[in-house]
Amino acid sequence: VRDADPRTLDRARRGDLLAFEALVREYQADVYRFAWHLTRDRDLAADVTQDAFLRAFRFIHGFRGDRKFGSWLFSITRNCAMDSLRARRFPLLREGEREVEGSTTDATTQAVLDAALRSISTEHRETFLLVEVFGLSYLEAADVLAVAPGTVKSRMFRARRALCTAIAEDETREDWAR
Amino acid sequence: MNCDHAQLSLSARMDGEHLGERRDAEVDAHVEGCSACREFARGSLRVRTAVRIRPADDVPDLVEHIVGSLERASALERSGAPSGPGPRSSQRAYWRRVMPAAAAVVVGAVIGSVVVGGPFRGADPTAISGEGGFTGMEAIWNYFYWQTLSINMLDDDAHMLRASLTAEPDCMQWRNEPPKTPADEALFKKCNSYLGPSQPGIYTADPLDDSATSAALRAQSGKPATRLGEAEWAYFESRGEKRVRRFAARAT
Repeated sequence: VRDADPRTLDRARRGDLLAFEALVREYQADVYRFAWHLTRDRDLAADVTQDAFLRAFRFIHGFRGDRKFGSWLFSITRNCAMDSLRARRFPLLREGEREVEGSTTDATTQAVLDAALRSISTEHRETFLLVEVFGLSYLEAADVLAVAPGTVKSRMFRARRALCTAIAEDETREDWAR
Repeated sequence: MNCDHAQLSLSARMDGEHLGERRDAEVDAHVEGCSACREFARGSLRVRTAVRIRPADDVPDLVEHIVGSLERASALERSGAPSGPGPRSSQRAYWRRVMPAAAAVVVGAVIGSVVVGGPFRGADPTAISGEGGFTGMEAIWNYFYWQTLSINMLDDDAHMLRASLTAEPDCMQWRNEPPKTPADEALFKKCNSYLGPSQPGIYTADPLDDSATSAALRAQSGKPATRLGEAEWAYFESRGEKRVRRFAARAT
């Protein structure tokens, strides 16, 4: 995740709405993608994105800049997603029980990967997304998830192993089917 | 090194974490002779490739929508209106209302324990041996404690706590209602009498009360009525307290 322009950030911190709008333009796609991966619901992801930016605007004066703005925004997004899912009584990321929509492709590998991602646990998936998809370091991901960097390291390992196993099993099934 | 350790290190290395030269060498040596770990490394790379070559997600443009909401929220904030009763804000409001009462209960319980009995109780110099109820000191504590809770519209709870902490069971009036029956009336008088001998208007004359009852009590006590604080002032003056003189000089 890119770091925000310090001058824009400083102006936004002082309540400049135009500066904050620039941050919205820069980060809204990442925030939406993360929200979508967490909720697997387009409408909910849009609501979460809006809610996350509203919260960020309300609290940005307290953002001290001792961490990346993107990491801070992801923490807020994650909290908003959990609140929304809780309010709708959806368990976080239990999308196997609901229709999955969004960034699927016809390619078999992508479909298998999507299925594998859905099959791993919530905590492993969100860690994997932050590190592998959004490119956060272990320290940054630990900051977003409020866990120790060592926990991120072990979650990444377990997520990878689970994904590898899921994909291998799928391939074995395909071979049997042929 | 076992496979779990090797794969944990491989995974961290893929994510750009530095293991150190020695650890790197150990991992490489293990992986070279371990087909399971090689398979893990291959599989992880395939997962990475699949993740990174996925077509970009279809992201809706939410900028105008978000900025519109921000402008409305800012306008509301400037006008001083609440920005909407979200679950968290109503929770905060609830705690803002309840926290003073909760604090009063804790402080009251500790002070009450000191004053009327409990783990922190010391000797109470204002207690009158052989008398029931609570003393003047207790009444003062009780007043502040009850008032704090009353402000938060928890009168009934306060009454229960006050009664159970300070008075005898007969005096537990669960509701703030005037007595309705003669028995209630008697109980009410009895419990009020427990306000103690130092309460103005109970056993001593209320200096601000010119009624016949007050006059009779004044005559009974054999002391002239004074305004509140007059006796204390006279006492300090008689001792020639320098501080009092300084204070009086400043006040006049």
